[in-house]
Amino acid sequence: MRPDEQDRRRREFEETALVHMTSVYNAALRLTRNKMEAEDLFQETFLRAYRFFHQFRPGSNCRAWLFTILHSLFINRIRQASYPQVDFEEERVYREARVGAVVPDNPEVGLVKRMAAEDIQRAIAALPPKLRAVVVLADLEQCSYREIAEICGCPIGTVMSRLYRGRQALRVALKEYAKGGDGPQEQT
Amino acid sequence: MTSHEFARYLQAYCDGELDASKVLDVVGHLEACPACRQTVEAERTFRDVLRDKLPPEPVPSHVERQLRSALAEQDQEHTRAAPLPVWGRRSWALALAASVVLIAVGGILGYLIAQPRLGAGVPPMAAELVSEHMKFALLENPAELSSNSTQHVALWVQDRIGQPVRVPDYSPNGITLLGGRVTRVSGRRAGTIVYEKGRNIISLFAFPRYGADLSGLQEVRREGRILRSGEYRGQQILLWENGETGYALVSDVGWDELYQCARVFFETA
Repeated sequence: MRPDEQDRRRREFEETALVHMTSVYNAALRLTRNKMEAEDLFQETFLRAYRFFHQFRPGSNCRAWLFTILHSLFINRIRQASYPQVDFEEERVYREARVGAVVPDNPEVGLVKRMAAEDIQRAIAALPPKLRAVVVLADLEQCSYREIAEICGCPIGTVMSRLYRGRQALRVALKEYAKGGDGPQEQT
Repeated sequence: MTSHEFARYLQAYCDGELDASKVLDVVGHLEACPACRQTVEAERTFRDVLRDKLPPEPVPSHVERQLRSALAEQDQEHTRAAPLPVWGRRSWALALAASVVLIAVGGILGYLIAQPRLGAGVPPMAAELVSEHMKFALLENPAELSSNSTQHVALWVQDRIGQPVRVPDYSPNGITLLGGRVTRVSGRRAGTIVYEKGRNIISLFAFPRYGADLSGLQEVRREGRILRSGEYRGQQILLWENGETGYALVSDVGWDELYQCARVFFETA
């Protein structure tokens, strides 16, 4: 690539992708919980995005595109590390979520208000990866169902059911932390 | 609407995702039902509190510095890896002649296969294949099993999806086999054979043949075979059936290349 083309490409990347650094960093942080791992995932996401920037369609949603890369890298790491365990853990959390509260009652909201951010973060980290991803994208990054479906590569119906289960499981985990327990074991 | 029915729409309503036709019903119910109003209030407060408790953190300066220096390094690698071509007049003439031929061939193929761009009416299976392809095409190692042996990859995938799979050799076309991975298509086990051409990944999906609704894709008859094609999210999709197995090529490598891959598949069948 000629140096002037390189400069143009870099400028475009700067204006289109690097403006979303904070969103990507925070999503990585909420997905991994571990700062070092989040920094690593953040850097890999942008390097991958830069390498494949020719595939990005100008005018489309760059933040969602970056989240798609982040999500793929995240899920791939999980699969490489502990895939069978993830499936098993998801089943367990689904079962527990089904017996949990259906909607948050007011005492529960008060409970979360009193909790330390660190405990809430730990409860999110305890969710199975696929549920954690939709909860982080919907509730913290405020992505739409359609965006999440594209990011996670699944139908909108699946997004809705994962979101429902994820939120229920989060409430169960928050209650456990609030009771002073160690909460569920954190997932990778 | 009863409170029980309302519970089904609670999540989508609070997320602002409920379609307009249902919103009126929900609002009507909420006006008459204080208990459900309270539930909505609690649900919304819960989300607000969650966001308040975990506000966005700024990117640490050392992390941003590291990223910018890694990007600059990637720029340098690019410049080193792609020096300007130094061609003589003869090479230019040859290149020009070759591009004329390519454009002509491309035009004919383009005419033979009219490619609809798929929007909201994309068949779910095609959307799923494209998402699956895009998810892994961005990874450093898009294959679960890394191997350039067609036989090895075929056996590995067959073993996992439980049906025969053909893994064509595209190396004469300058396409490298990277390996295979196992995935799910419409809830059923499927195999993906992963190839690479330059910086583009080509996925060849192999899945059990069944009557999925593929309306919206263009039907093309070539040499007695029926192929279906379409374009979605910038990726081209080419589908066909072979015995009990359905195949789909997905990539953004271009129609001519994809069609060549399908042709090699049929020729070596």
